[in-house]
Amino acid sequence: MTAGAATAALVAFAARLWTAPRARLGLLLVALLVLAAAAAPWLAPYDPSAQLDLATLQLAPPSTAHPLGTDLFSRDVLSRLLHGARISLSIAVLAVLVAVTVGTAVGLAAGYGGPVLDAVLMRVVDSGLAIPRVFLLLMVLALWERSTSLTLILVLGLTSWFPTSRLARAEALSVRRRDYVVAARALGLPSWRILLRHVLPNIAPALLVSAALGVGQIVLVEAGLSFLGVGVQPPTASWGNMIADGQTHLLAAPWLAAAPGLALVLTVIAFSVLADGLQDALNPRSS
Amino acid sequence: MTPLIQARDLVKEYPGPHGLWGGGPPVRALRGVSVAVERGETLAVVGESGSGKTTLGRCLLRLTEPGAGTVAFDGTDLLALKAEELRRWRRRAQIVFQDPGAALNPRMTIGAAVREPLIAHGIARGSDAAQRVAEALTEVGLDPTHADRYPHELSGGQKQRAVIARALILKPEFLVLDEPVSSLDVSVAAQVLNLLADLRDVRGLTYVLIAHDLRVVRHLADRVAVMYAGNVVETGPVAAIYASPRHPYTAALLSAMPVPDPTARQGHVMLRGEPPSPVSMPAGCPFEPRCPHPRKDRRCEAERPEFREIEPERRAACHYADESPAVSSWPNAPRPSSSAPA
Amino acid sequence: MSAPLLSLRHLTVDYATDRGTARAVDSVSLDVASGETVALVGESGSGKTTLALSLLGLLPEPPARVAPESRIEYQGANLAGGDNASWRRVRGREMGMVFQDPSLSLNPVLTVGSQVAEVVRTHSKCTRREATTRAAELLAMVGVDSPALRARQYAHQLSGGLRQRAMIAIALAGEPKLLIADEPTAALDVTVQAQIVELLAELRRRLGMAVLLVTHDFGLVAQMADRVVVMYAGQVAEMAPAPVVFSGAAHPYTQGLLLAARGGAGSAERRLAAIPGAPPAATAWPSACRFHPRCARAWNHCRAEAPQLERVSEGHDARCWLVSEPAGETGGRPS
Repeated sequence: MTAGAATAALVAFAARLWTAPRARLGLLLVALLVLAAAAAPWLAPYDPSAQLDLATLQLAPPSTAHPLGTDLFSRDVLSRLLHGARISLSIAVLAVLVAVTVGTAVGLAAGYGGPVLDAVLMRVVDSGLAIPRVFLLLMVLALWERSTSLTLILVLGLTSWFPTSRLARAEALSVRRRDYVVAARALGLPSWRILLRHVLPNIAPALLVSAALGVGQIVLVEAGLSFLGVGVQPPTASWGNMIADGQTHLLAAPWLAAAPGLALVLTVIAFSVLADGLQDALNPRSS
Repeated sequence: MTPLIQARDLVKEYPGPHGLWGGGPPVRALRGVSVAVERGETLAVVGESGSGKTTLGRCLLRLTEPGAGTVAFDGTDLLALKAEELRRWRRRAQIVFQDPGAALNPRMTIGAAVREPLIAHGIARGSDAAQRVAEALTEVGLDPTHADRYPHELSGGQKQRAVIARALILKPEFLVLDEPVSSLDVSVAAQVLNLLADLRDVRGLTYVLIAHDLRVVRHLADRVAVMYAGNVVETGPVAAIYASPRHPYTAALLSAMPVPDPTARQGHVMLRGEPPSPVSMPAGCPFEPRCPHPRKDRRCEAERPEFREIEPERRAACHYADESPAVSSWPNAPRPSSSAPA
Repeated sequence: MSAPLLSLRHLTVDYATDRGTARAVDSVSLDVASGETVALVGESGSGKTTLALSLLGLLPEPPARVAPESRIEYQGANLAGGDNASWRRVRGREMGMVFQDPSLSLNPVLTVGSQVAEVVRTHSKCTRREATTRAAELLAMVGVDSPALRARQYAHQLSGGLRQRAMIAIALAGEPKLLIADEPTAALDVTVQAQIVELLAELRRRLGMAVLLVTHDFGLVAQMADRVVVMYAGQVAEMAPAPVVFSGAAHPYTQGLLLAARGGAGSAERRLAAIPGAPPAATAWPSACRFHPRCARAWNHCRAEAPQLERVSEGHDARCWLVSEPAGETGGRPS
C-alpha cells in the first residue's frame, strides 16, 4: 500500500468516525497530539539539543521566551517536549503496529485453526503473559548494547502482543460460528479468503480498540524505560528521560518533570477516550 | 434410479456439558438417520427442538462432520472427499439459512457477497461477474442497484432474497433450506416461498427443506420426513401424511399447528411434557413417555421400534403403526402420574 | 355497559433515530374490558410491541417519547406521563407482562422460585417463607411439575416450555387483572405452544383475567381472542370481534394477512397469496393511506387523503376508503 493510499484510507476512516458523536472527542484529542508531534520541527522555538546559554539560562523558570523554562543544560523544555512527543508517539504507534500484527496472526491461527494448533499457541501465549513485562524488557535491552529506536520498537512490540492474541482468538472463535462464515465455507471459499474477508474485518473493531489503548500503555512503558536509562538515550529527548533529568531538581525546578509528566497523562487519557469512541462508533449499525 | 442424495445411518454426537475431557454424557443429535432424496424432489424434514433436523441438514452438506454413517451425492461418497475436492464439490450444493441478517457479512455489500463465489471458484471476473450478479439479483426479485447496499439497509425479505441469489449463483443442483422463512413476516414469507417454488421449477432443483411450520411444508414439499429425538420416525408423501399420519408424534404435530380459523376444532392430540433432552434417552421407544397411541404398552417401553415400511412409500418407527387411528380420532395423551414431563 | 379495564386514547409514541423522528405508534385508541382477550396483530414496524411496552411504562424514555396527549387509562386513572412511583403501583399488581423469549427474560443467576417469590413479596407484605410457599403454589397453578423442586432450579435447567410457564407465574404473582403477553409462544416448539395456549385459556377462566395478546400468528388469535385489533404502520387498521375478522374482514391488509396465514390449506393451488412489498419503516410512512403502495385495490383517493377509522358495523371499525365515504368524492371509486 503506498503512503498516499494509506493516508487516504486513514482520512476516510477518520471522517467516518467523525460522524459518531462519541468518537469526536477522542479523535480531536489524538489529532491534536499527533499534529503537535508531527509539526515539532516547525512548532518548537529552539533546537531541542541546543544548549542555549549555560551561564544564565540554566534551570530558568517559565517565561515568555521559554514557556516551559529550561533544563540543567539550558535547553528549552518546550522544544524538548514537542520533539519528545514525536519520538514517544512514533515509537508507541509503531510498536503497537508490531504487536497487533503478530498478535492478530497468532490469535487468528489459534482461533480458526484446529484444536491442536490452538493448544500449542495458547501455551506459548500463556508463558509470554506469565513473565512480568518490565523484567523481560530490561533483560532484552540489557543484552542489546545500543538501543536504537528500531530496537526499542521491535522489543516493545514483540513483548506486548500476547494479550492481543488472546483477544483475536476469542473474537475469531466467536465470529467463526456465525452464519455468514458457515455460508462462506458452504460456498466453497478457500480458508485464506474466509479469514481475510469475513473473519478479519469483523474482528477488527475489537482489535482497533485494543490498539488505541495499547498506544497509551506503550507510551508509558517507553517513558519508564527511558526514565531508567535503557530506552531513548540522551541527548535525544523523550518524556521519560526528561522526567529522569527533572527528578533531581524536583524542588528547585518542578517544571522540568511536571511538563513531561502532564504530557504523559494527557496522552494516555486522549487514547483512552479515542478507544471508547471507537468502541461505540465501530459497531455495525443494527436497527 | 439412484437418488441424488443417499444418507445412511448418520450419527452425530457432541461432547457433553464439560467438554472433551470433563466427561458428562454426550449430546446425541443424530442417532442413526437414513434419508434418500430423488433428483428434482423436495423433501421436507420436520421436527422440533432436539430432533436433529438442523444437524442433518448440515451433515448432508458435510458442513458438520458426521461421527458415523455415509452420505453419497450423485454416487460420490461425500465423506471420502479430500479438502480441495470437497471445496470444489460445494458448487453443486448450497444452503439457505434461517436468519438472513446473520447469513450476510455485515461489512460486505450485497453485490460483493454475491460476486465472491464466482471469483473464488474462478468462474468469472470483472464486468462478466458484475453482469452475472445483476442477473442473479433480478432473478430473485431484487433491483440490481441494491448491489451497492449493505445488509443492514435491507428489509428481512430482501436480505433473504440476497442470500438465495448468492446460493444460486454457482448454479447448484441441490439446496438445503434451513427454516428459510421462519424469521420473516407472514406476508413476506409467502413471497419468498413462492420465489423458492418458482426457482425450483425453472432450474430443476432438488430441495431438502428443514421446517417446523407444516404450512410451509405443505407448500413446497413432495415428501416429508418427521424427526424426533435424533431419529426419523415417519416418512411419506405430503398429502398422505397430512391425511393419515401413522406415527403418533406426527399426529400430535399436525394437530398442534394453530389454524387461523376459530371454528376449527383445535389440538385434539395434546402432548404432555417436552421433547427429551438429547442427552438422556429412554431405553425403548424415545417417544413412549409422551405417546397417546391407544395401543401403547410394555413393549413400547422396552423395545425400540424399527423404522419399517407400513405401506408402499410410507415408513414409520412405531410398533403399532398399522393400527394408528384416523386423524380425528386420536386421543389426548394421558396426564403423567409419576413421570415428570421433563 | 361497565367501564373498560384499560382504555387507550390517542396513544402516540415517537422514537428519536439517527434518520429523524419515527412515529412508531400513531394516535391509537382502543379498550380492553375486564376478562376480555384482545389480540393485537401486526407485523414488524406495526408498532404493536412499542404499544405493549408503553402500557407498563417500559419504554426507554430517550429515545422513545410518549406524546403528552396520550392517555393510558387503567380503571379510569391516566398512567401516561406518570412518574416511576405511579408506574410501580401498576406494574405486576394490576398489569403483568409475559415476554417473548423466556430465556432472555429470566435471570440466569437466580433460582426460578426466588424470582417468583420476589414478585410476591413486592406486592404483598409477607415473610420470606410465606413468599416461597406462594411461589410454589403459583408454579403449580401454571402446570409446572414438582413445583417445590423446580422452584429451586435455575432457568438453564428448565426446558423452553417450563421457562415460559415460570414467566407466566412471575407475571401472575402480583395477581394482576390484565396480562399483556408479547408473542408468548413464538420461541416455543409447536407442541409446547399448544400446552401454553391451553394454560392461558384455563387461567383466564379461573382468574377472570383480561389478556392483551400481541402476536402476528393468526392461528393463536383464532384460539384465544375475543376481539382483534390489527395494526399497520403505527395505526389501527381494523378492529372487530374475532369471528367477524375471520369471516368478514374489511381492510385489505387484514384480508391479505389472513390469506397468507391460511396459505394453501387444503388447496390444490401451489402458489401462496402474498402481499407484495414489505411493511414500511417508521421513518418513512407512505403518504395518505399508509397501506396504499401494497394494496391491490387502491384507487385515486387512497393516494390523496389518509382515511380515518370508521364504523363498518356494530363493534367493527376499519380505516379504509373502500369502507368509508370520503368527503368530496374524487371519483374513480371501484364498485
